[in-house]
Amino acid sequence: MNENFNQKIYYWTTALYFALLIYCLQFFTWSDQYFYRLYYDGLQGLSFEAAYDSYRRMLTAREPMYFLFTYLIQPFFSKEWFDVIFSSFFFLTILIFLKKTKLPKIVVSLLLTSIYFLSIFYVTERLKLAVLFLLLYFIFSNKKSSVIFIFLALLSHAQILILTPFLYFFSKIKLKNRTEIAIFFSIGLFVSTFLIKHLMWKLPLYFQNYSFYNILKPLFFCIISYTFVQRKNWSEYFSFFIPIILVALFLGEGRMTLIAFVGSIYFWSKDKKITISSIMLLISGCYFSLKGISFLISAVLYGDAYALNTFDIIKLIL
Amino acid sequence: MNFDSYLAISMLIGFMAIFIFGSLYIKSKQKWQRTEVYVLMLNSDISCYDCVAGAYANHFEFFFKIFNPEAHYSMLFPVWLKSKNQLLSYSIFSDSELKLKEIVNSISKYEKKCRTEIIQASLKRFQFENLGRLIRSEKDCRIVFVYERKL
Repeated sequence: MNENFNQKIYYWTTALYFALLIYCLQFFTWSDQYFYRLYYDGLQGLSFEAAYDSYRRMLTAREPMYFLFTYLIQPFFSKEWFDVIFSSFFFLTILIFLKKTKLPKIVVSLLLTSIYFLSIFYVTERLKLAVLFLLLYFIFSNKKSSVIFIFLALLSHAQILILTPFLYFFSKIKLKNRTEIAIFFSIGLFVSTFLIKHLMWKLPLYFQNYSFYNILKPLFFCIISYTFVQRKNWSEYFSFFIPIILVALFLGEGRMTLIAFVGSIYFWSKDKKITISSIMLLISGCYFSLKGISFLISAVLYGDAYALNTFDIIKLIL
Repeated sequence: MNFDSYLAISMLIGFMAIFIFGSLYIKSKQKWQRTEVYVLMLNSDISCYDCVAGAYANHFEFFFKIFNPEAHYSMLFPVWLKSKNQLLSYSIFSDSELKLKEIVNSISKYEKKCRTEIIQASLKRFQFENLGRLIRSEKDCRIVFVYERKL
């Protein structure tokens, strides 16, 4: 079989996988999606202020981007159509981004089937919007104006703040004249006003999750990535992992492990060498994909992807 | 390059196959029956974040549902008490006879601060719309279990 044919089969399989993901959207009725649906359906006929109030109460969030996004779209689409269009656009963007990174196809498949990708795809809509903006930033990162996507991502989900030190080193932002500096800091100030309010309110909740064990998984990826990093990348490496480990300590390891996992793949993609560390990364990817299966099965059975864990599913099948 | 494509295709097809057959197989093992409905309400100071984060189901014979008879609407509600109250486990529920009092006693013994209340069948006082607020309010957390008994 020639390479072209293989490519075609691969694209068709990815399309089939995408169709399955879209089909499964209907099963996510509980957990966060339940509140997102209540909020979205309740937007009808509400004034701007009342809608924002409902957003704050029902989703316990203050970042304005997702609110503006849904408020503008809600009159035109039902929640089902909104989910399909938003998820399709997200999937397409992630494919374009992954194609740009020139990662091996198996790594792309591992990423697309991992529990972390699936949880962003199905459950955490605000984070999905934030990740979408981040992806757009990476896709257009050769243009200076793409920095605006980082601000939009920050306005979509405050947790993107964790990535700002890394993004600073990654983007190598150099402001040339006073106008650029003024624009940059004005937007920064505008974004901070929303984030500070949000963080003041959310941080006390986060501190309840404090545990030393939270850092174990992110630390594992931090150590693996250490072997991938070349000399000129140390600033990127430390700016990426130090905030993650610190935040994991307080916030819990779930999302931090996701970021650390994706970060490890990023650092590995610099030279793509096959070493013991990269094999360990591959095994971790397989494990996350296995968890992805139980995530989907749980959603199909219970409407909540977190109702069953992987071991429950294995027990049930056996 | 070819090898990479083969691996990626196998990975995606394998994932889809395990997911589809796994769900079909588990679903075929389920035996839902709807008969009596009980509601067990716990007022406790357990953090609701913990409840949601620790939500998991360990059996299929029984399940919890939020049930709103006025709206003829029911929904799975897999919010279990986390570690502290894992007395609410299979061994209690797998009894053929439903022993709500025993469950309540076990919980009360374990979590003395809990005030428990059982409402049988009549669910009208439960405001479905307020569920989100109930679950997410940190201080007055009410964990509501609706138990559908299998006869």
